[in-house]
Amino acid sequence: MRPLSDAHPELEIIDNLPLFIEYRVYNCSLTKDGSNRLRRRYGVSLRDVSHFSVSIYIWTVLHYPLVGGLLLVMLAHAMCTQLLWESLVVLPDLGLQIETARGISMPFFTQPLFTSRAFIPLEDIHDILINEGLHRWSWYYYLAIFQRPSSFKRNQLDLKLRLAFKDILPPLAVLRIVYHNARQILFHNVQTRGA
Amino acid sequence: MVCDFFHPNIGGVENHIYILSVNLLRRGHKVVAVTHSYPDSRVGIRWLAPGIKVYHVPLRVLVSNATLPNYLTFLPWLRDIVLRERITIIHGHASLSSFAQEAILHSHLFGSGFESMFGWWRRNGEQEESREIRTVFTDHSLFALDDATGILTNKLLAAALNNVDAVICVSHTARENTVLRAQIDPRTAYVIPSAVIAEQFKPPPKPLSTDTITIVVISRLAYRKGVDLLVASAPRICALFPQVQFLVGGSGPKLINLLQMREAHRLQDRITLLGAVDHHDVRNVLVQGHIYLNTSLTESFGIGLLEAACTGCFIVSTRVGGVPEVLPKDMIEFAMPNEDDVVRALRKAIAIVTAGKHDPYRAHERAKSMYTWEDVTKRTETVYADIVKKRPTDLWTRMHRTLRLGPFAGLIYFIILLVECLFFLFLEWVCPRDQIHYVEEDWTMESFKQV
Repeated sequence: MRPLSDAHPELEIIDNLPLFIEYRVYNCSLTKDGSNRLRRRYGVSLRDVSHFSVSIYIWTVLHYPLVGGLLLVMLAHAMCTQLLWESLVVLPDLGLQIETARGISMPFFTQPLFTSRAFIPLEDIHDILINEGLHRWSWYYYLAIFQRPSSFKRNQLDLKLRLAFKDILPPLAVLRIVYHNARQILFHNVQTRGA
Repeated sequence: MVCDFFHPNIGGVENHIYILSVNLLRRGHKVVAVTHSYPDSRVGIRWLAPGIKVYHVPLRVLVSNATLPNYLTFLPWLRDIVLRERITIIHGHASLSSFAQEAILHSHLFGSGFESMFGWWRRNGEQEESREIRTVFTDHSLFALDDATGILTNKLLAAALNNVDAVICVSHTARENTVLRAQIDPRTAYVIPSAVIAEQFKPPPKPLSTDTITIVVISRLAYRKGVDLLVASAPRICALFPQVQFLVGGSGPKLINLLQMREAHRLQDRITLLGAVDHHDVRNVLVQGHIYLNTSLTESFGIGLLEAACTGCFIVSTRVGGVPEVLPKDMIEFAMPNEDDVVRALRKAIAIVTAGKHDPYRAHERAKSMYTWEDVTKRTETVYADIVKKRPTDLWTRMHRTLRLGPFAGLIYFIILLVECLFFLFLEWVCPRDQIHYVEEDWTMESFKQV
């Protein structure tokens, strides 16, 4: 494991070459005093507490057990599916894998409860690039992988756009590190201009 | 550049914005265009050669490519664009574009003046140098002050231009019209005409023979372009001069009137209707004509006249709006906007062309030097330099000026201003500034040339 880089502590590079290299971006915010230290989103927030208390209130005081129970179940679901990290695993000569890890964000729960993984084989990868796009009220940089299925059964023009780090949306500097390294490992070329 | 009307839509305003942006880019400025999205083809962020970034904001189009004026729903996207691109000047175009008016109304929120009054989001110890967004508005059209459209849109325009830093109009007549309509300080109104790329409008290599005189008309066939005058005068001219042919390009709601006139007078072989003409085909149509006829009932500048003069046509036009300012008197023949005078003017024009007194190549040389895009860009830069030097208005002055709009409109816009400030503060909480993906790299002319 390479230690976290100084400017972007949320990016962790797990180097296990020649098998794989994983670029993991944790869901955290930086402390606001400018020292760029990590502050993970641990524990219970004010929103969770208020959600809990409102649902208990509806259950007991207002005597709507079904509604209160439903709200409690929703709260439990939300607390168990918090976003922990997203990563892009580069497997040399094999392809890419996009992973999203969700679970309980508490100090002693290190392993995620749910992980979704999607693998893209190397023959299918047409290109990797960074582009800007709209998401809700903001414009973000995103890392896109063009997947063109090269199987003879499918239509050759069937182009799909897969996004890495879709839910976390890290800043451009993190994306650039991942972009350059992934291109170098997969395609053995390095972009000289950071376009 | 903020406007509803931008490419892929084709039109005079769109062309003007694009060519102006390209020339500003060539002189080293950074240009970003904001327009609405076309759900089939243009969404998100696109790039136009040679390096203009176009943001397509997902707001619904109401009619003829203009969005519904929704003052607050545009603010989140505009805020993000202005902050991430570090924009310093907002330039709005076209009075009918609600994006442009809203962008000018919202511009004061992004500056350091507002931030110093309400900004909790400033980091400790970080001092911003005084950075205010300046606004410029370009008006491309004339509006009447007494009809229904005029009364409504003029009030909206007056409210939007209440606190604008500079207004650019395309002719002196347009400047007077805008100053009266929008009740702005005349010292903030500049006149910068539009221009034409002369290389795209060269006259034909061989002069046309004057055995048949061809009269060319290219316009959108709508009421305000005076199609009724054309319909009335064309049969008379065809009857008086057997050697005259008409060539009509463009389409629109009044096409049916032209077709009916052609049927009624049996002029199918004298009047040719070309339908909608693409912008790159306009020159090929214009070179086939000796005379260009413009019968508009209202025209602020008339770029079509300039294009035709460049191609070597003799111009016949109605004397409306800013048309008398465009060309010197010996290249153009004026007519009052009624049928008899149009016929008289055409008669005189045909006489001049038949006698060979009009030289297309000399006309091209003269028109080439009159209006150039370098001139327009330089003058626009002067306007930008002027407004950056001015002191910005703070929120208190802005509130007072808004209330002075009138008993009803003033109060309504004052309430909109307050709600807009509150919404902006809400946005600062919901989408904090450190989460915004700031733009660090831009296309420059060098990188474009490399590619």
